[in-house]
Amino acid sequence: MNTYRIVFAGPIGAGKTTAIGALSDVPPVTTEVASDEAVAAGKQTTTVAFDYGQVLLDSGDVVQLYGTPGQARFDFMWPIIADNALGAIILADNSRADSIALTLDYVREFAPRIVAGNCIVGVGRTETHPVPTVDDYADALSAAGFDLPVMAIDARSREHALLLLDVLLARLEAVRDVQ
Amino acid sequence: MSSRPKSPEPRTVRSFFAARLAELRAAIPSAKLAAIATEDGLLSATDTDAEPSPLDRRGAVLASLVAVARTGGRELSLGDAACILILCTDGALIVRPFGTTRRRLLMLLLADPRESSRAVAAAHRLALDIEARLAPATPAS
Repeated sequence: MNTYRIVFAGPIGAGKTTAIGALSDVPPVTTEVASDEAVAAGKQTTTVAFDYGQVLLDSGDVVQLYGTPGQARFDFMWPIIADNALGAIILADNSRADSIALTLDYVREFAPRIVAGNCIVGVGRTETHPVPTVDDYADALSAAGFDLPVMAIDARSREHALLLLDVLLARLEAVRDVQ
Repeated sequence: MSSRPKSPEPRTVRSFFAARLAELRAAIPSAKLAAIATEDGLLSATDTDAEPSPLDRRGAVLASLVAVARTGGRELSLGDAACILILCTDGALIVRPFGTTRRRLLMLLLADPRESSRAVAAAHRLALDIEARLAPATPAS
């Protein structure tokens, strides 16, 4: 049985806890607390340490899902959670005016921590905020030297979250084949 | 990656906290720092400063510590985390979560771990006192 550690990162309100809850085959472990900042981001609570969930693959392998706190003041948790993880899902909130720049910040922060820089970007709230487009994100990432898949997602949808995970695991297999 | 939030507490509350934290620190000879943070890791006041930066990472570290302790308590069927004591080589850290309507975290750093028991008791008394002072007044029946 193989175990894969996958990390969810991104700003407050991007849907990290929600996506892990949608994906996990076991009751997720969360460290959410009430927060005025969260209220400003359109929710009630925010993660202050980590989220944890698991996906059990048909092969018997286990994918461990770890969510990071979004606010920069919790950056001391990021290496604890992310260093040497096998993949990172960076979630973006397209309703934020600075979403592309913020996404680049998180990619720059997390890609070096992840094995072979194996990251994917999921852009949320595109149904209410269609601009910038997924292509705009991909172009900005490419210009910054990151050739990463970018997909529009609804973090509440298990189907969407599974698709992100599938793409990430496929990229991981490709990296292993090359190595 | 995030803009500086405003202070999580009104000025009068921060001044009250700073004064009470100074009393707590004075009562424990080896105390190095006393502070209060919000449950989501924004520093509200210290024993020397009623205007600390809310983004001081010590507040965030406290929030993460307490959240992990709570998770551990739940997973091990021990109930909620009422107090955290960490004995280190160069001192001790005490964190006392308190408050019902609004959760806050009281921190005390000690240079001498041998004062831990006394400091835990003092932190407990202060938490109860602050909680009582900040509780909404109940109308007389």
